[in-house]
Amino acid sequence: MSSANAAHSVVEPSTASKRVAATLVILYAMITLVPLAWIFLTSIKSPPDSISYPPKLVFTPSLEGYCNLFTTRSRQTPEYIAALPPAEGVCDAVSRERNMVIVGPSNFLPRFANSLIIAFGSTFLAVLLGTLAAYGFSRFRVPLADDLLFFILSTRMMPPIAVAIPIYLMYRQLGLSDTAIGMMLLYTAVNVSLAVWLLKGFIDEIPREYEEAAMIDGYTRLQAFRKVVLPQATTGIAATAIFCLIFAWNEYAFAALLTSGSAQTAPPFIPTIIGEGGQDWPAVAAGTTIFLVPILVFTVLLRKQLLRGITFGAVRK
Amino acid sequence: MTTSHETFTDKAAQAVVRATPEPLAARVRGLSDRAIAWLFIAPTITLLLAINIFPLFWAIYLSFTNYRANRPNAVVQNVGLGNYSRVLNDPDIWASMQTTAHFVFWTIVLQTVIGFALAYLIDRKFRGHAFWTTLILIPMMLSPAVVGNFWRFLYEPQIGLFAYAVSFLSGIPTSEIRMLGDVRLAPWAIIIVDTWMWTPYVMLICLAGLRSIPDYIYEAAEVDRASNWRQFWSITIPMALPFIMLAVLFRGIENFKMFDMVNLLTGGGPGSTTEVASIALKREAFEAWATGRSSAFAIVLFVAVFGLANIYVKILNRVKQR
Amino acid sequence: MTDRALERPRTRRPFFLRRGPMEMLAVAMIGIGFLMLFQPFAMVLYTYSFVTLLAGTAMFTVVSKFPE
Repeated sequence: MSSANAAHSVVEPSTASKRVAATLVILYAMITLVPLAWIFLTSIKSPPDSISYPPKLVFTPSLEGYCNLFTTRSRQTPEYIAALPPAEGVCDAVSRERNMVIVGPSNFLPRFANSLIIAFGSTFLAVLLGTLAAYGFSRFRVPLADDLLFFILSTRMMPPIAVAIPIYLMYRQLGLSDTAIGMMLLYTAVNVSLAVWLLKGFIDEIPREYEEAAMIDGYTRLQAFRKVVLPQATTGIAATAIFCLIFAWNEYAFAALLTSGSAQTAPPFIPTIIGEGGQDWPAVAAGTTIFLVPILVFTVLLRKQLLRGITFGAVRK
Repeated sequence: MTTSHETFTDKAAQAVVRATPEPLAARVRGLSDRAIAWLFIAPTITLLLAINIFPLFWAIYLSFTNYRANRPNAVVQNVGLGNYSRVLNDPDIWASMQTTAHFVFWTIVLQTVIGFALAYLIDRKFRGHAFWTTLILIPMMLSPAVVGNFWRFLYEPQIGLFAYAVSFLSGIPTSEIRMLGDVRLAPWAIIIVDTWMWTPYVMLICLAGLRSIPDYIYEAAEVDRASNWRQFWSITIPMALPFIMLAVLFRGIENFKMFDMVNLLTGGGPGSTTEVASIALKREAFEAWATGRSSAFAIVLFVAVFGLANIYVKILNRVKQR
Repeated sequence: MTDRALERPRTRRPFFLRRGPMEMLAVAMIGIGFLMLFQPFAMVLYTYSFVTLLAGTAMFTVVSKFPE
C-alpha cells in the first residue's frame, strides 16, 4: 500500500504537513494513554498515596494493592499482632503494618477463573458453530441466505438489558441461573453472529477451486472441508477467536444481571472491591491491571485484523 | 498469499489432468451438498432460536401481561396494549429518552470530528504512524465496565487526576469540578469517557475510508489545479462518507443501548440526570420487577435498534462492494 | 444479492414497487421515528414514535425484497 503511494509523488504529503500530523497524533496518543498509565500507577501505590492531594506522581511503590486484591483481612489490636510469629511473605508484612491480619483468600481468583472458563468456553463454541455455518453460507446456495445472515447479525444488535429480562426468566425455569454453562451459552449466542459474518468473509476468499480439485482427487466434501478449507482459514479462525474472546472477556451487562455468586465473572466483581471506608482504589487498580493485560496483548496481535473485526468483515484491508 | 494461490491452482490444474474418471458412486459418497449445508447451518440457527428468538417472543408475550418476575405464582392477566400505553405516556421514560438523545448526539459529534481528524492526520503517513495508531486503538478494546469503573476514581473532585488536570489548566478550584456529583457536569462525564474510549473506533473506520480513495482521483484534481480545500470537500469527504456513516450508525446503535459504562460510572445519577434508556429499563425490570411493563419498554428499544440495524447492514453491504 | 438483482430484466415498475425509493422512504420514517422519540417538546410525538419506528422497520423489511 505505502510503496504504491510513494510512486505517485503528486499526492505524497509534504514533509512539513507530515511533521504537524505526527506531532498532533502523538500528542493525542499520549493524552489518551494517561488514564491507562494511571490505572497501573495506582495499582502500585499504597492506599494513602493513592488518595493524596495533589495526585502523586513520585511515590514509593508498594504491593499493597495486589495483596489486598487477593486476600481478605481483619483488623486486630497492635498487641495481638506483636504477639504473632514473624510475618510470612510480603503481603503478611504489609497488612501487619496496617494492624491487619490476613484471614484468607479473596473472591478475586475464583471470579477471574470464571472469566477465563466462560470466555474460552464460549469462544470455542462460537468459533466451532461459526466456522460450520460460515462454510455453509459461503459455499452452498442456502435459500433466504441474505435474510438468515441479517437475522444472525441482528441478534448481536439487540439491547442486552432487553434480552436479559426473558433470559433471566428462562434460566430460572431451566436452573441455569448463575451457572457457567448458562453464561457460556449466552455469550456463544451473541458471539456466533460475529463469528459467522467474519468467517464467511475469510472463507469467501479461499478459492473454491481448492476444494473442487481435492474432490476430484477423491475427497468427499467433508474431507475437503477438513483438509483443505480449514488449514487455509486458520488465520481467519484465529482472528475471529480473539474477537469473540475479547467480547466475552469484557462483557458486563449480562454478567451483572444474571450472575451473583458462583458464576460471577471479573467485570461485575472488580467494582465491588471495597476496603475500610470506601473503595480500595489500589486493589481495584490492581484487579483492573491484571484484567486488562491479556487484552493489551490481544490488541497488538490483532492490529492487522482489527478493522475487519469491527466492521463484521465488510472492510477487508 | 498470492504465491500460495498460484501453487495451489497449479496443483488443481494437475489434479484435473491426473483425474481419472472415477465411478460415480465414489464421488457422491458421503453426504450430499444440500445435507451438509443444512447440517452446518442448523446448529447456529438452533442456538440463536433458543437463546435469542424464543426469549424475544416470550418478551413480546409478557409485554401484553401484568406478569411480575418476583411473584411467579400470581395470576397472570392479559392487559392488551396497556403496558405499551403506559410506557409511551410515562414522563420519566420520555425523560430517559432525552438523556439518551443528549448522550448519543454529543458522543457521535465528538467522536466523528476527533476520529476523522485523527484518521486524516494518520493518513499523512508520517514515520511510525502504524505504531502510534496501535497505541491509540487500545482504549476501545478494553472492558467499558472495568475501565468505566476506574474513571470514577479519575473523576473524584479532590484526589482524582481529571479534576486536578482541569483545575491546573483552567484555574477553577478542584472542589468545583465534581464531574459525577454535579447535575450539569454528570451528563458530560459519561460523554467524555465514551469519547475517550470509542474515538479510535471511528478513527479506524474513517482511515479505511480515506485509504479506499484511489490516488488517480487526487492526481486528476491536481491536474485540474483544484485547491486542497476543494479536493477535501469534493473528493475526500464524499468518497469517505459511506465509511463515516458506518461508524456513526454503529456508534449510534451501541450508545442508544449503552448500559455498562454508565451503570458503573454514575448508575444513572445524580438524581436521574444520566439515566439513559437502558438504565431506566434495568430499574423497571430488575428493581421495580414490573416485568410486563419493562418487556413492553424492551420491545420499544428493540424495534428502534432493529430499524437502525437494517440501515446499518444496508450501508455495510454498500461498503463491502468497494 | 447484487448479482441476482442485475440478472433480472429491467422492467418499468411504479416507484412504490421499486426498491430504491421505497427503501429511502422507510429510512426516512425510521429517522423521523427517532426524532419523535428523542425530542423534548411534545409528549404526543413521543407516544406515537414507537408506531412510526415499527412501521418504518416493517416497511424496510418488506421493501428490501423488492427488485430495483
